[in-house]
Amino acid sequence: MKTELILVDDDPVLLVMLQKMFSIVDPNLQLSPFHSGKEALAYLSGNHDTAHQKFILLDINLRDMSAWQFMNEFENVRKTCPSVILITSSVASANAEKAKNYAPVVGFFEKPITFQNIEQILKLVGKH
Amino acid sequence: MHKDKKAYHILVIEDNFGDFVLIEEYLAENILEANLKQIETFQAARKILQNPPGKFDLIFLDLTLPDLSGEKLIVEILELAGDTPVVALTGFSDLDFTIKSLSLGVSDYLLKDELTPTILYKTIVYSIQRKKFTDQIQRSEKRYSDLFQLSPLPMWVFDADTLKFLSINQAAINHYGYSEEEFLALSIADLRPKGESHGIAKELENLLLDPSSVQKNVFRHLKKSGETITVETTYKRLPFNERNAMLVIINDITDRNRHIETIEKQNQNLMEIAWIQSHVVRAPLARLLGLVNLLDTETSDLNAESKKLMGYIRDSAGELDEIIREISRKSETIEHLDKNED
Repeated sequence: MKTELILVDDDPVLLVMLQKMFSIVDPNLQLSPFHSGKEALAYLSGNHDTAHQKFILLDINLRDMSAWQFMNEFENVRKTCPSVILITSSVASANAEKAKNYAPVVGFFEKPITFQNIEQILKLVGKH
Repeated sequence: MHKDKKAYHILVIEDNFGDFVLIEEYLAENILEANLKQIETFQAARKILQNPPGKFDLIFLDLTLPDLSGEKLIVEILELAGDTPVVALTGFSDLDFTIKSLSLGVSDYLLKDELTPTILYKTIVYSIQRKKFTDQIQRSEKRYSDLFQLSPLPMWVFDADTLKFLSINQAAINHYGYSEEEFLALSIADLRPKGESHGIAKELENLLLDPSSVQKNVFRHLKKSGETITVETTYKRLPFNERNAMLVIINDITDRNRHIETIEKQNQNLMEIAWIQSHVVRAPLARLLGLVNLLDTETSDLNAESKKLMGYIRDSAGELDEIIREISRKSETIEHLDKNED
């Protein structure tokens, strides 16, 4: 089964960087970048393609919603949330603690995302 | 008969020599050492009392002297006598007035026509002793009154039924700006800002039920100038001239509260600054760090000089990152302290 990685971050430069880094490490990975939580939610709810295993790389502080709201939205209104890997530019430790209370969260990374982080993320999504 | 061996110093203000001799003789019967000094006029008495050769134990005062008599004489002599007891000497014709003189502060009176050695001696001993006690009581009363009047904290007593002020100390007058008369015309409800005087009766309920209880409250009060202050009041029930009264001590905490508010506001600002550091400032920094990493792998063909410069950029960004992390750590300890206090 092919793996699809949904990238959600409101920082356009970071989105470009992440796409570049992932494609350097794994050119076969399907990447779907989004600038807002709303766009990503709309895409996920409209897309019933089950051929792809989906993962979400999600920035905690999006401009339109927090990662927590994003996940709650998923669990309340839509179906089960795909596995989520949180990324944040904040260095406040409270976020990492809070993440433990959210079942979909399988990973937590502080920015900058390094190539080493990319390898770790790919391991989490079952590649490499 | 057993004689009193104690030495007495007695001033006799009496213009009638016969009366003086009589007193002298009668005293000798009961007192071994009676040092008498006779003075015939008020002026002479004033001289001797203003510059006493020694303190007198007692003063006998004839109420009619050649240069002064009656109430004026009594008042003047009492003033000069200080804490020495004054016993009036009088005849039947002046009896009504003499009895009245007791209220002016005269210790006792003797009717010249009924004088006996026993009555004279008893009067002396009794007056001296009684004067000592009344002085003690007056001093003690003054001490307690001073505790209230001279307290640096505003204090008052009010009637728990009518809420009217009954007594106000100087500190309260100074602090609130009302004179004593103005205070006495007010009730405690008048000190509360509009709409904040309800519930006073309920506040007093518990205090009235349990006389030993002490209650602390924080209220807003209005000064005469209209300035609003925040006060911490301590209430205690107090029997006051048979009324249901409350003693209140007022502590103005306006400044203290203002300081706390300022500090809390500053803390809030500091927390916000820390939050901006760890969230907002770090976002472009994380981007910069990521870009440097990416450039490192993409530009392996850079010359040595450019690589060195690239290294400097990475190191600078790394330093900045450390600083922001440090600020964030510090703000987290503040947050922690805050939570512990709650």
